[in-house]
Amino acid sequence: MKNFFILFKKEMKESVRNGKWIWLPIVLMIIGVSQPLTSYYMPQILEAAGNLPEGAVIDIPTPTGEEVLIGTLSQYGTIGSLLFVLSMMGVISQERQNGSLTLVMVRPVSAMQYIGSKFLAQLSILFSALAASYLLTWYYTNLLFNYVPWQLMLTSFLVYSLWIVFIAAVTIFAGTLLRSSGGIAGASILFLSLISLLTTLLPKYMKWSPASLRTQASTLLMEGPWDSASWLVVYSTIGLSLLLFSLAVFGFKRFESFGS
Amino acid sequence: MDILSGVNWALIAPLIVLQAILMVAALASCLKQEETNGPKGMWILVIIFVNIIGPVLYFVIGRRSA
Repeated sequence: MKNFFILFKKEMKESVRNGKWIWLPIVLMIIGVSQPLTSYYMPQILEAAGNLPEGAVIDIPTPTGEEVLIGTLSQYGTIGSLLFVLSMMGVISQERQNGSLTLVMVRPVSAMQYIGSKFLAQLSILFSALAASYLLTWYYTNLLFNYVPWQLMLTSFLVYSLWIVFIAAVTIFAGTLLRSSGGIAGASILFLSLISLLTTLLPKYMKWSPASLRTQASTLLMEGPWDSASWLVVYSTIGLSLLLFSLAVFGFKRFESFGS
Repeated sequence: MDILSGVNWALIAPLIVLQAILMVAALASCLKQEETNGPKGMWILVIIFVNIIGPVLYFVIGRRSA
């Protein structure tokens, strides 16, 4: 347990030093806040950008606050997922490349502690960044549109966080298998987009897919309480993340034993 | 330009401040680094002129971990 905390602290320190604690929250906040702002100023933007014929009337219904939050969630889903993968691609491969991994592993540190500390440290960064961004967006939405109850905001955030946990598990798992950061990012993004694509193409067979967490978060915002299908997604995502995590620990053990 | 005056700048200001913080943080980190991946001058230009994506690119691939 002591090893775990030391590794965790080290991971935090490193994230401060390489600027992850600065850029990830800020970029997410920018992405989040631009959603309510562009929705709010959409008529003006269209007026300024489009060369509409004289007298054209565009009636854009003002979105509700819930719809704006859903829009934000879908922004997190595309650009956000990419950023999350990019921010985590180097966590193992960089240490492997510059040799500090060997220095860590000559100590009595188990693979479980090592991977676990990475996983939790990265997750806490991602969560704080996402929470800061979502709270700010919520504040803006309340200001510009209508008040969205905080319980709805919080639950949709929690549901959405599970998708983040899944992304982290996938990326860390890829990190134990591949050597180069680029390869890790590529493989994770490919896998995540494949799962998203399959979920939209075959909704009937992919009810369990973690990618439908995003739609679940949206329906939660629009319609309120859940049905049993939502719980299925939650359980399957937690299960899959745990599976990927243990595969990562296993893969790391194997990898480490035949040297970097 | 009358469109610009209709915009409530108090709403947009936080966005601009956030971008400024991001840029300054990236610049500070870039100048402090002894070596970056690729020429340092190029990174400074990228950070300043490519909005949002520039600093992120620098943090993700421009830094060389010591």
